[in-house]
Amino acid sequence: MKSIFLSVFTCLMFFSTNVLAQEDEGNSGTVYSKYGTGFPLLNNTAQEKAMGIIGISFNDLGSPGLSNPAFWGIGAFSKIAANFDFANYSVKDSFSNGSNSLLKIGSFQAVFPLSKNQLGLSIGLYPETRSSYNVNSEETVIQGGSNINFLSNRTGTGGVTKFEVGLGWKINQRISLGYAPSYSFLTESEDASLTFLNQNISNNTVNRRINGTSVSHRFGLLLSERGIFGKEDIIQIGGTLTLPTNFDASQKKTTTKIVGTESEVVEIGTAQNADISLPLKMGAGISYFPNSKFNASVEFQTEKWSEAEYGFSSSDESAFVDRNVFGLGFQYHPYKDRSSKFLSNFKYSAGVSYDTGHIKVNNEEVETLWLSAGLGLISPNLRSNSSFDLSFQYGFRGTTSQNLVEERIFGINLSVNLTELMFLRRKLN
Amino acid sequence: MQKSISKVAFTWRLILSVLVVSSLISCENSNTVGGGVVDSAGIRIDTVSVPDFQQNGSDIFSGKLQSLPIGEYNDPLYGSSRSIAYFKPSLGPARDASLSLLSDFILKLQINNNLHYGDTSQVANYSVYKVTERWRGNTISSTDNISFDTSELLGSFSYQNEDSVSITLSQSLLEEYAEYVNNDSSNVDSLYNFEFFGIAIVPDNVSAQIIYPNIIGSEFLTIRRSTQDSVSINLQDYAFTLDRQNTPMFPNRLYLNNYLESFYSINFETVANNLSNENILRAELVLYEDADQISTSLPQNHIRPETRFLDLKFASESELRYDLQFTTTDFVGVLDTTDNTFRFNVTNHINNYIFGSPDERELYLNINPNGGIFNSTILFDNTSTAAMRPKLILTIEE
Repeated sequence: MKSIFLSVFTCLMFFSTNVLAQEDEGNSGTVYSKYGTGFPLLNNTAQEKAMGIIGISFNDLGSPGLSNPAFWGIGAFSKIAANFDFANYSVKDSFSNGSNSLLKIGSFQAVFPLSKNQLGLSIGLYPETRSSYNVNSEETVIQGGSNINFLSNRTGTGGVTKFEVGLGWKINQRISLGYAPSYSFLTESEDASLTFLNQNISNNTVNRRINGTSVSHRFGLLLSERGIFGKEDIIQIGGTLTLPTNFDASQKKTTTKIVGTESEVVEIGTAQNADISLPLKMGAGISYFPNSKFNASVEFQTEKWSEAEYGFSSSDESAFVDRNVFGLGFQYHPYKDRSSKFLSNFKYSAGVSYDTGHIKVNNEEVETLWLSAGLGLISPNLRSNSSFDLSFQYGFRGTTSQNLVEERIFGINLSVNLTELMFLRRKLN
Repeated sequence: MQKSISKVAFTWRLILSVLVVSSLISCENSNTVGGGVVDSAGIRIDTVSVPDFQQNGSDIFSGKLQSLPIGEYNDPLYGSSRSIAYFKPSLGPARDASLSLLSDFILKLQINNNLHYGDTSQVANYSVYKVTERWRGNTISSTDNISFDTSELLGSFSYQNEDSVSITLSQSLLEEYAEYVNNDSSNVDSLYNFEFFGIAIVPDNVSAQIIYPNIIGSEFLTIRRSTQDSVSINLQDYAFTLDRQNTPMFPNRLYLNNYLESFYSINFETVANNLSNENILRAELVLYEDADQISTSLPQNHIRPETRFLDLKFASESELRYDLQFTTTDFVGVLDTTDNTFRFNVTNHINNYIFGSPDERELYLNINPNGGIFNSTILFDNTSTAAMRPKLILTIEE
């Protein structure tokens, strides 16, 4: 098992160095991440993605989850998880088609039990929104009877990242609460490049950088009850609330010019300040565990994007519409039989989710339907619940009508969960 | 159980390897999909008026240029120009040969026969006189007056479209020149410089054409009559003076010529200050030539060298004449015959104002003196119709 973890972490280091390098190569995600601070992310784990749910009502003792802080007080294990996402986008619009791909580090989280099975501390670093687009176009401007032909490229990266420290408190066997304040960093960068076919006009790239910070808060609630429909069953009802996050953001544009005889980076226009906000989010879900080998969940989250602000672009802000996410999925755990069969060493998940989207472009809502499945491997060590979770998703987003883009997304998500007894003195060897 | 775990470990390694490899090979470049969602980076074209050009006048250094205008022509558009050329032979090779008085003394002029200015159907007549005062090609100006003795004709010639002309100079000039050539005294060079002033080639009053001898290929010759042996004598000095009459006035026009009778200055500071922090990709100064007036002003068989380039340059006020004539231009405007415009790319100058503080601010618009060939042009000014006024066309990123 150690060798597997070693292999995985070697691969992950390899992944992460490539992530940094690939951003410079212009690989991209969804073109719809151009709006506002980027496309909102759910930050659910790989197994939650595989079940098509958000993770509001579902927890796994072998892996921490970011979705509902109320889960952090449950369990005796220290848990560390890192999530990695790869997505390939097959895209088309009314004129052409193509493909993009994006590999990124999703989130990192560590949960430590301050009081065994009662109070837990979570430290997390994760993206809340992400911009990742890279779009070319050929343009012509008529001037004085002649055409000026040029190529335009807009490449955007960045988004809102949260550093979060929160507490989960298991009040009793039925009720758990969680609170997670976070410090949010808004960093957006867009390069708008113009390449002129007429050599008389200088090629130019303008970098637009937006920065801001804020504090945000979210809360979680978990209600749990056993033995409702059978003596082994468990039903969990979760709820989450994320308060709006308001940024006083600044925007600066720079480009490179020849000033005198030197090439210098100069500021274009004057630096601007504007209000940017992320919306109120509310979520709820029910998970049912009829026995130790099977569970199913149904969840819902609404995000009030129509009230979100993006002061640097009124057109972006006016595109925001309320977002609703629905998820339904199940999980099967044959490994709990401790069978020697190969296929019994995994847990299996499958689900479906529907996202109404947070933007309406050209009177079309950008909806996404995800079909997902996954599997996980649990450590055979009884003192550890470390696991790998791998999910595969296939998504249908957008449309080619109204000059929009239709995306077919194939995603692979990997969660590496290290779950060990830490800070506890062993009484027996 | 242990065997099964090994299989699982192998499976996971395989999955991870496939994941890593597929992620590396699947990275693709951007594409053109998404133009309806992500607006293109755009440009806009702004046209702004430019400040008034301020007219200036001067003259040029007219010695040691590549071509020497000789002749007189009354241009119906630009007025009368009368140009006299001055030549002085060197003492050089002739001294070694001990110049014989039984020789012919000849000035051979190589003519740029595609650069005439005036009536090509007429024969132009020229007379050669002895210069009576000292002059130096390095310091002479086109408006200087250099005296010559018209009481004694040293030679004459007529010209109509030949490639070259050979002018036989008088025996008296040969004898005077030979006194210095055959003088063995140590101070002969000084005597020659201070006492022998060369010749002037003067157009007759009825001449209606200016010709341009090319210094490369022009020379003095002595040819011994008995043997026909010839000795080439280099030009030690050469220059011209220009007398202008009926100088024109052009209302609503900018009038430029390359003997600096009229040139202009302009300052873009005010324009640039109104463009604070704009991302200017190209700033093009456009000047419209009054091509109709220029082309219709010449009678049949009359020709005038075309002006195809204008200079826009920085110059120091203390060395203005020299800078305008001899320093490299900062911005060149090439005539676009499709719309009769001169276009100058002044992008860096405008950006220097917007993002820095330019060391040089005053720009001068003139026609390059072009080695002595006379060029003139007229351009529409700020009082002309709006479409033809000088303008700055700005390509701005937005």
